[in-house]
Amino acid sequence: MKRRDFIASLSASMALIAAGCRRPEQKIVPQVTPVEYLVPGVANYYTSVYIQKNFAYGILIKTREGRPIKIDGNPDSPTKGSISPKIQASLYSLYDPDRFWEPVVGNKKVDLEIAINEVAKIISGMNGRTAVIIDEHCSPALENLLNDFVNTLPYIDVIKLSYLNNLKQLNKEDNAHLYYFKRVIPNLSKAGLVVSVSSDFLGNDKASPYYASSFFRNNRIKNPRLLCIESILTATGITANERYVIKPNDYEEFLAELSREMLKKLVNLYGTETLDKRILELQSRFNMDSLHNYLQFLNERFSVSKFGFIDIIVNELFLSKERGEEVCFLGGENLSEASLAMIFQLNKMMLSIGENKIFDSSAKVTEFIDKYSDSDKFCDNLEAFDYKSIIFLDVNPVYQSDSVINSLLNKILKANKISLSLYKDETADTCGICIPLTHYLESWSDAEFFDGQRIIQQPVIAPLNKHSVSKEDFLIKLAKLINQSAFNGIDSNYAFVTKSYLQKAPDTLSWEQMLRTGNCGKNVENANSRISKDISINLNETKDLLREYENKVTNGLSLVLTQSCNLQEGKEANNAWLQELPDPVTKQTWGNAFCLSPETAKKLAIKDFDVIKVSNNSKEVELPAILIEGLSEDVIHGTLGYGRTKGGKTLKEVGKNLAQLIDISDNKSFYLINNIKVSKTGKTEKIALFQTERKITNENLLSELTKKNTRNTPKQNISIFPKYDYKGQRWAMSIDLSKCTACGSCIISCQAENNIPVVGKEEIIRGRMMNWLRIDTYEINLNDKTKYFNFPMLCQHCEMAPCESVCPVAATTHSPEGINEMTYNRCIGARFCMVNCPYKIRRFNFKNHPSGIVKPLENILNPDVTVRMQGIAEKCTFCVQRINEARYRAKDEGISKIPEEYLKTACQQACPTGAIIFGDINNPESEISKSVKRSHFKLLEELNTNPSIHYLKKL
Amino acid sequence: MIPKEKHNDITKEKEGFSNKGFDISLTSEEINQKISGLINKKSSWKYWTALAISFLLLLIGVIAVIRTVQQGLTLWGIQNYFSWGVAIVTFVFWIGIGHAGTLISAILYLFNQKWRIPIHRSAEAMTIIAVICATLFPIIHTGRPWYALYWLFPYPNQMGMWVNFRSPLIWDVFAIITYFILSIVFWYLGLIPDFAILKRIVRFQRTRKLFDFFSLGWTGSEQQWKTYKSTYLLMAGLATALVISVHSIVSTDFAVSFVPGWHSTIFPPYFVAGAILSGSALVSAILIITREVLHLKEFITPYHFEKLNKIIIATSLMIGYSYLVEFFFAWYGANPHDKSVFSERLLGSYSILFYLMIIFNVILPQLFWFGKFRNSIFTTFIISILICIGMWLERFIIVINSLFKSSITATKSIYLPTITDISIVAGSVGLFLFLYLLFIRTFPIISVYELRKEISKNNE
Repeated sequence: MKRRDFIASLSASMALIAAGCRRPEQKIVPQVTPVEYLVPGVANYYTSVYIQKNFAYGILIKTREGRPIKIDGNPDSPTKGSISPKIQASLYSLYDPDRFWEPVVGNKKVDLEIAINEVAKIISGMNGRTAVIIDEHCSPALENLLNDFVNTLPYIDVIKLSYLNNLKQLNKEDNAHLYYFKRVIPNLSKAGLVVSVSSDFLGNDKASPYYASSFFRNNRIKNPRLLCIESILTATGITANERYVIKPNDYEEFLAELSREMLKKLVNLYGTETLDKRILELQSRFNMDSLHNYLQFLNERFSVSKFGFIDIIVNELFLSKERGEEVCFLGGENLSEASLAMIFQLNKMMLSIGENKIFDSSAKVTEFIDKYSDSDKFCDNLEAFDYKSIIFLDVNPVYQSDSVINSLLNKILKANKISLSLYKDETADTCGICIPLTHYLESWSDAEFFDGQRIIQQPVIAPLNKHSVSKEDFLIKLAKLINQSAFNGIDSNYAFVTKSYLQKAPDTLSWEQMLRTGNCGKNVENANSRISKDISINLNETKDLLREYENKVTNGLSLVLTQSCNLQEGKEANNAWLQELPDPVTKQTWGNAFCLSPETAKKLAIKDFDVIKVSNNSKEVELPAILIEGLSEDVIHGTLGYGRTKGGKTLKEVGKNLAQLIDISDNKSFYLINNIKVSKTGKTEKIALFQTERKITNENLLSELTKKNTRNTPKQNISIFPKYDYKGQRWAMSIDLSKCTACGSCIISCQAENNIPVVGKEEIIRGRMMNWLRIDTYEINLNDKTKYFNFPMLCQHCEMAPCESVCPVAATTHSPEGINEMTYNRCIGARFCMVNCPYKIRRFNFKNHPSGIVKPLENILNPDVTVRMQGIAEKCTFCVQRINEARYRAKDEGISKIPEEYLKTACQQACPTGAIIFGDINNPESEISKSVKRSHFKLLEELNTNPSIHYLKKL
Repeated sequence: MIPKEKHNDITKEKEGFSNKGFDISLTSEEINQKISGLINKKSSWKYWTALAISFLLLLIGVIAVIRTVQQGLTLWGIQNYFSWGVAIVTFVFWIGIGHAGTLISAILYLFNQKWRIPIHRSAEAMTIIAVICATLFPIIHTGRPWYALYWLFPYPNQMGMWVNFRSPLIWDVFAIITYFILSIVFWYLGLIPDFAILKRIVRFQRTRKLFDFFSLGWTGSEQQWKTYKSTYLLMAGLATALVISVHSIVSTDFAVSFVPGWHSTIFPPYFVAGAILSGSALVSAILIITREVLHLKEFITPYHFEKLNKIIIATSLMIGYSYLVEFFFAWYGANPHDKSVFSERLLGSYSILFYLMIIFNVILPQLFWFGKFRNSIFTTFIISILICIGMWLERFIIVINSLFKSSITATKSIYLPTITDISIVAGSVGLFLFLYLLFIRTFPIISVYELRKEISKNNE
């Protein structure tokens, strides 16, 4: 080869290499037949429902280019747009890479049809009975389907299995107190005063967002009051105006004493004119003789006055009554039947049960909820019928159940077990045949709401998993395989659901209108619903219950168990969003712990983060301890729902399952275990906490939080720069501290809207959380009482922002509308902004988080928001993408200023209590301008940063 | 490593060494051979060992930096609430180290202090190397160093957008670049006559050509000397201003910010004093090693270390005063944030480091009031090293302790450097030593012409 040729070939090959260095070609193919309603770049919203046990929520699903990317509450539904973190985070489960993807028969992966055929073969070829175990639900269509299913295949039993059902007596429907406790959802929007007795109705209750929204947002009374009596620190206790701590075994005595004092007052007031007419009216409804009897009984049985604060509660109750407000008592599920009976009597005394009262006796209540009832029957049946096969329909009893059911499940090991589930969970792991289920966003169904409205659950995306099947479709297919004449003319659940709705009464909305609005127009008379009965006061029964009661005064330690606020019964434990959401009380993420008060800990010589071993009889659990003020003495508190072992990678080694400590043999309650033993193990474990300091050291903030004086005019800001004139709109936010329940709805909403990555336990321990919004809870000692303040912290969008002046590359700047903006692609990650931010709300991408996204999880990302790479600082943007979307809409419509109703930030939209208000503070008519007329303060105002966030004081 | 020659040195001085601290009996040619001739000699095993150790340290640092750039700052100990860590601490530390060089070469030159002659060359080299070490830190400390390399330079991007001139980090860029350029020019200026001497002495042809080139045709004529002297004086004047300015500007990174414990007007003088303290201490420590490794005990004598120790006493008192004033401000001022930061400093999680710092920076240097300690090579070496550690701790306390106690107290976690952090700091020490060791084998580490002139002046 000649020199020239060599050079030529060299240059040619270089040119070739250069030509080859380009991104892989991707062709854009236009849609020849466009999809209806689908405009690229424009979001579509669909209504649907989310079913949580027997309570349904109306939801609104935002989809972009066919992908669901956010779940919000549907304001037109009976639940008024209230939404919990769990519902929002259910979107993550849809795209979860750890979902169960292929049916398994034996150990072989097979097609769906083969798997269902196999199930049919087993069931029809069997000589015994088959049990179908389902979870609690509120779908009439599923109920009808199950009825038809059982009718066609008579050798099948349907059993409803509820999670750790504390009150087995609930089947005794005649008991008014239980009936009202379990069935009637109190209408808190009428309540001027709520007395919560060990009820975490703002925390882990299945209807907590609805309660929160009706109590705080839609309440007719302006400043409703909340009193809380509890033995552990709950989200309700933190939010309450007054909180009293009693021992977990003292509820009966407390309620008896309260009843006694209330009755005394009522009896003494009889005939006088001092009280409201309504109270007199009440007195007339009582049989005064039996009332006196009851009082006498209480005087004899509970003569000692143990609780000093009862007078305060009684006074407050009567004051509220005198003002003409309604009051109510709420009891928690850990209470005994005697306590619930007394709560019922108290409610009755205060006239809060009746027609159109808080506990509405004329409300429609579904009957089917209790059909095929629960664990007792399951246990009886298991022994009586000797089931040959069991189908677990989206239930996980192996994890969720108590020891009795678990031992029964072990007994029937020989039976053929079939599982249908979204994840290959603990139960599926024991089953021979496992079939993946569709997510609820992929399937048709319906739900009956607490007020009797029936709303359709519609799919918003075709099943991501072609091997998956919905519960209803599975039952229909199975029935058809066994008996060809089953479900005549109906081949899918869609047909089944539509059938019942297309034959609706003429006064309801049409099928399409129902789907569009997410409600059914008006309350419908449902065949399955009936009006709750008029309950007569049966004081004798309460007396009987109280007679049985004896206070097992224990000197030992008690373990109080509650469901986790975020995970509840632990079904969605593989949901990384929920795992990384801090608990409202402990602020713990990724796991559970034993909480105890510093006094108790001192007695036991336990320090923060010491791993302690709690044992009940032979069972023991080791977990780290967290010291929190506000728990009763000698009480250890733990949350259920953690410690899952199978069903994905995320849930591995997250906490421990405390349900294994439950031994129901002699306990009056699942949720309270007396006489436990605690020992130190000598180990310590790091806990992923979002907040470690609960005391405020900053005197200014302390006085701002506790002072009651009103200051409407902001402090004069001194600056050497001329003041910028915000001519157009200027965005600002107000947060009402008295309304924040620390539920975390805003945090998940922000995470979904702004593509905030999940960092994992290790990174949180190392202080690298990414959430733009966090809720701090502060303890303040006021007059020897500990007050709690929930404090949502996000970027304050300071007018004189310290972060802006120090950024060397001008990556963070101020917009003419008052937003502290962040330009990601200009950021070099010098982190001076983070250092200089006095509020410490800036976050830094220590890792390249996008590279950790596994298919199909990338579909969850909001295309309107940049995904941030490694080495970039970020923070709350006031949802600038939403502001711009609203701006374009206003521009299209020829409006110069963005109208307020066009725009809501993600956190504002998700807040069930309406604590967050966002808008244009330059407009005196706007909601935000009105809200800041109230007593408010800005955070660390002495630093002269002039934040755009106004905190309305907790009164 | 430390010779037991304390007694010996003192007697020598008594026996007829001049009070300038060097042997006046040497002839010009002897000086030429003893200093410039070092280049022709083979390096001792001591030198090679030192070079190998420093290279190893440098290698560790390089690996740590590469891993950091690949995987992100997750490898470091920093957190959201401690977003500045050891990197910034070490950056400020190295910038401070550089100061003694300029002080010795420029300010002492202006004050006509002859004792600076045998030590100023290596002090200047230290300045340059320390600035190189320091400059690396702000760059690798950023999240995206590949952009930080050039986005920090003051020129507009394609959108016509400039850097943010309000940011102290940009002031740093200006200050450090100016300082670096001036230090190099000043150092090179001093080297020109020596290069001319070297080109005569050096054995290798190629090296000789190189020195010839860099001596810029120096012949030593009267005219050249005249121009040279006035230029050198001018440069010394400019450099003097920089001694004050650079560290003052670096201190504005803290003083201009909003963080309680940083936001203080005392920072600029306080930082300059600290810089000179640590710089002088490191000059002492390094020179003690150099004279040992290169057998320069005749030129660099306890006399010089005594002078340096006097600077150390003065600056250490200034530093001690600054510490006091800081606490006084916090106590006397009305700012509750400051109060909590300083009480945290005294009693908090990092208080042990604070007390160590006080001992190293304020208490130990007071030993130099006593001639016994001041003249001893051994104690000078030990205390110098401890002062360097103490000054690093001072920056650690300023940076970390103040961030630890932020205004919003919800999160309180402990900052602990990781292995990567420590490796990078070790790497910078390695880089410093490596470059310095290369320097002492390639350049005349004592200003030959000045020494010759001084000795001849004395002999007359």
